[in-house]
Amino acid sequence: MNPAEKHITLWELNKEVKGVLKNNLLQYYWVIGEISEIKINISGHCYIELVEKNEATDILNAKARAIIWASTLRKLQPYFETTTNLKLTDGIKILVKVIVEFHELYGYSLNIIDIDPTYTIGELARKKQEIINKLIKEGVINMNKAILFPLLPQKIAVISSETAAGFRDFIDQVNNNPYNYKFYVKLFPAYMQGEEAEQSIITALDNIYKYEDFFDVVIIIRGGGAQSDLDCFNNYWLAYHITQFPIPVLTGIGHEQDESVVDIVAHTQLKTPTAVAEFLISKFQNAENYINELENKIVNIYADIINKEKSRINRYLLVLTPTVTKMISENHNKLNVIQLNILSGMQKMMSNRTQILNLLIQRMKSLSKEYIIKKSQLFIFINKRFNNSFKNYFSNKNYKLSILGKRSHYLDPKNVLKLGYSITYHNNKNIKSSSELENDDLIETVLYKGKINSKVAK
Amino acid sequence: MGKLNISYAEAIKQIEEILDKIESEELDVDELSNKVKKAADLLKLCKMKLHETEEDIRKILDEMETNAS
Repeated sequence: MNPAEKHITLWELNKEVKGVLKNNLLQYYWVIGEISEIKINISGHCYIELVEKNEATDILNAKARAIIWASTLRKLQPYFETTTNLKLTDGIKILVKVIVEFHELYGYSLNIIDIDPTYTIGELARKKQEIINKLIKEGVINMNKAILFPLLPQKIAVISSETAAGFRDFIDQVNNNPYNYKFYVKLFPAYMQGEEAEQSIITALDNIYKYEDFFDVVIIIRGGGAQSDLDCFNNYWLAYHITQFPIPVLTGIGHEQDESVVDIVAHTQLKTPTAVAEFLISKFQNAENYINELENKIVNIYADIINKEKSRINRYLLVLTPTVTKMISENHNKLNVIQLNILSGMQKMMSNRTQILNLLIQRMKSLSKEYIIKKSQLFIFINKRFNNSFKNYFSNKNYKLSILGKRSHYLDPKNVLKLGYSITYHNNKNIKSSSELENDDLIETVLYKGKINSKVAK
Repeated sequence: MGKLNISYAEAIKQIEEILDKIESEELDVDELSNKVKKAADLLKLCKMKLHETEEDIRKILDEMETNAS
């Protein structure tokens, strides 16, 4: 560094820059920027960080601090908010009239002195249209609308905030409807505005999805509010989720002006929670009317058919009765004739049989007699012969017996003794031969009467 | 015939079927009488669903409550 070159102070340098800017820039510029941060401090001054993002990549291109002095803010803020129905918040793009300022101490900043709200409106509309176009391009924009609305939208999943007035009104209306229709309502609470709304509603949808077979409709409702609060309903992901949802989604989010993207993709959009309640009740009425219609149709046709059948039967009766009566009497006669024939036939047969039977009996009788007589004769003959034989046999035996008797009579020792014979005993043994005796033997001789004792003297 | 707990949509469908059959005049008087009786039951069921609380549905909702907490 050359000590001979002139040096200046920092302040002088900044002042120089300030001068150059002042001289070379326009007095003011209309510039587009996105609010990245916004603070209003106690003094009433508004400090904004303006940025510019690359739309495709979301990477920052440029950045600058901006200030709206309290006095200006007092004019601009209400002007902006009533025109756009939005609040000045981060995320929105604004078109502002700025004076470029360079302060020796505070550096580069933009002093906002005016704002064009229509740009912001246009920006939002543009973004919204972009989202809609994207959904159309993806072919999903009508998918929820295509789902068949249930005949009876009775089981209702409600996405709302418990504290929202809209929710309480809705519950009141459906539970106290004058037709005594029965609704089943389950609340899936979510934030209905602000940054958290998008994710919170998507989470609620996910929870409802677990019971997709149970619920008939999903309704997203909230009471009225500032337009800016509805910004979350222009969100792409939320809208996409709704297009993919398998149950019809109804909205009643109370928009004042334009419908939001969520309204567009919903199956049916209604203005308010009350309108949703009325819609559902009217569907019930349709159902009830239809039931009655069916009932009447059935009753009428049934009565019709029954009457037709009744006439038919009567007609048949008129024709049938005489015919049948005649038929019956004819058959009756036939039967009588047959009966008589059978009877006489049977009688004949009976007498034939009886005759034959009698003949047979006669023959049997005579044959039996013959047989018996023959057998009797035979028997008598045999009897006689037997008697004779028997007689002979006995007389033979008698004869033999009497001879034997006579013999035994003669042989009886007593009778023999009577004849003068005697028996001789020696030692109690009867003697038959003299050789059996010795001299001097003692013998006993038994006579017919008495005994003799003797001694042998040969 | 036991009362099935069929859905409203299913009941309506059955009633419409019966109506078609009756209108087509294909049924004999016995079948007709049976079908009409069944239709009457179904119509009664539909009306009941419109106006009365069903226990099963209440139960499911209560379960959701306990599952969530």
